[in-house]
Amino acid sequence: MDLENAYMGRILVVDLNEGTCEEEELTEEMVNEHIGGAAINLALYKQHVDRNPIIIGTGLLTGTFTPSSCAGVMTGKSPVTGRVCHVPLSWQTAVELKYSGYDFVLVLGESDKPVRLWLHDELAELADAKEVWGQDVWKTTDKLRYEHGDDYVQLIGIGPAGEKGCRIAQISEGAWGSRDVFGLGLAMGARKLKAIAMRGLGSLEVADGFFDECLEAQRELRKGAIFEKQGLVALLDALGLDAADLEPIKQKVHRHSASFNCAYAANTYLMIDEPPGLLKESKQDAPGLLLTDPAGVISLLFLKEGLPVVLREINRLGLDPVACGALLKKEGVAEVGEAVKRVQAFAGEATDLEDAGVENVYGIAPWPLSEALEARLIQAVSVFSHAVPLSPLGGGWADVSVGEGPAERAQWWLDRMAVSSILGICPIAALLSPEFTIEKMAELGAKAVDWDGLTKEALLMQARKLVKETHALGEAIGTVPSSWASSDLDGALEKLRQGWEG
Amino acid sequence: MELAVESLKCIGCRTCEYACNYHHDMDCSANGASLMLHRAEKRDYFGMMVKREKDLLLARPEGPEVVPPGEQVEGAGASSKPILMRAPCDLCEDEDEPFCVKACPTGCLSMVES
Repeated sequence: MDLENAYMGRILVVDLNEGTCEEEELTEEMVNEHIGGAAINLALYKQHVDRNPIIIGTGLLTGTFTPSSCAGVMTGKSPVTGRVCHVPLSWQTAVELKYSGYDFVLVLGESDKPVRLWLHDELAELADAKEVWGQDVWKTTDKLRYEHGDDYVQLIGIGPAGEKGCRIAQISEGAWGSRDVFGLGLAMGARKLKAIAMRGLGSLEVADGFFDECLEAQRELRKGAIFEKQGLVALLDALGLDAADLEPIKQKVHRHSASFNCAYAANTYLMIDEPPGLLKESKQDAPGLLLTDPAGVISLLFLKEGLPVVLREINRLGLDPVACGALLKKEGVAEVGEAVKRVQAFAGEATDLEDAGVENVYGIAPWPLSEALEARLIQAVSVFSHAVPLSPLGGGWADVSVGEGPAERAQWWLDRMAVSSILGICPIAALLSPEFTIEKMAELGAKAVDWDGLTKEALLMQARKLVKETHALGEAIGTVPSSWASSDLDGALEKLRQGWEG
Repeated sequence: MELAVESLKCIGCRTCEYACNYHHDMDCSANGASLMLHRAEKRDYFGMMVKREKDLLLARPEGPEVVPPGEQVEGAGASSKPILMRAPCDLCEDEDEPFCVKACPTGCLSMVES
């Protein structure tokens, strides 16, 4: 195996109690056994479980020429669900981590004072964070980019919500939200870890012919009908949302942006304080916001024209928009000014869905669009973020070769999420492009590192093991909504679990 | 022939940077690319900068700007500096098509008559 084609070969071990950073080698044996990404995260988690670790990892193919290879994954015990969870990272975050010289970052213990981590040029520095502690996500991002002298610095950080014990706190990626619905923002805040800043100037070797093969794969993927469009609103269209509900958003669309090496621009910027047609650079600091998460947008659609202003505030404070939407709805707050005040209040205290009487899945707000049994099953398993849509995008279930059984459909989704989290493929792309088969992903992975053992079967076996072992860790703190508790759900969940035994 | 950038088609995926660097250095990184994405993230202002033999092409969303050597670029941030240190674009001489054009998923980059 040519490991240098995929990984830098380093695991960073950060001990927050001791205030130290040490390096361990990422060995070929580890990659042979676990392949990469979430599977290596989980192995590190189990190895250091007594220190309640958080692990940020990159996939085998993250940051390579492989189509949609933007993804990384953050793994830890959710302080909300009580279970271990894997949260996908997108944008440029994981690519920057790998090129900073570190494939995995293992964070152990807790600090007694606010700290931040700076990774660059194969160096790691754990520094005092008093200057950014208490600051919102934007000020933290701006300050750290300015201090490190580079707009390309990528960050995983928290806002006031994570610092103040809010149970619906979310990690941020740069200035915007993430797909964290598991309260990992709170987990970082509890450890007094304000931010991880990364800048990468490293490089990977490239196997002969790999570049051309990836370009060909990208060309094939772009034949999908969805690629005639761009943006997050088109994804919402594909999910069957009412066009009238999306109209207030469509009117404010500025431009669409893609994560690293993704052909589909899944993120959409909405202009609020400037005309949406503005082409010149605004003089304002943040005249709008970048929509990155379909679930968050769907959960706030009832705010109509007020959605962008409220969601921008949610991002700035480091809150989970799905949970905020559920809380605002429960309180009957739909006026924009009042909604902004309420989310500011959510961030300032230990806001909790259960306490507020909002139906939740082990403490997290349910996927806001569908209560189909397969969607309930995926959430009850509670391993991967359901800020990612819970069905294939584009052509829907009719587009993929899977039957109508809820357990079968839930397994299809879990397989796609597990494989993409191991390899570092964007989870949205994995749902958008069913033609990007697990077999094709395995083929590119095998080619990338010259590893015959990386087959579809090996990848699927690793994926099922990942889901099974992750699901078995921790103990669920809460229960699923009472309205869900039925023999339907219990029976289907049992069937799904039995499938992992094979 | 020369490289043209239709800035409003750009989605900021950075695939072109890595493809360009592969032409120059035969590895996977963006360090040696002749083009570079400039992004003011919170304002959603982004476009490509291309280091050419005789000048710097700024493919701004509002329209292209050509900056002669030594001239100060208005609004340039710290991340703009490295582009001036890079090898200029050679249109991937010896290849049938520049790698960035081949790799761009949206047709933002193309070859046009000079």
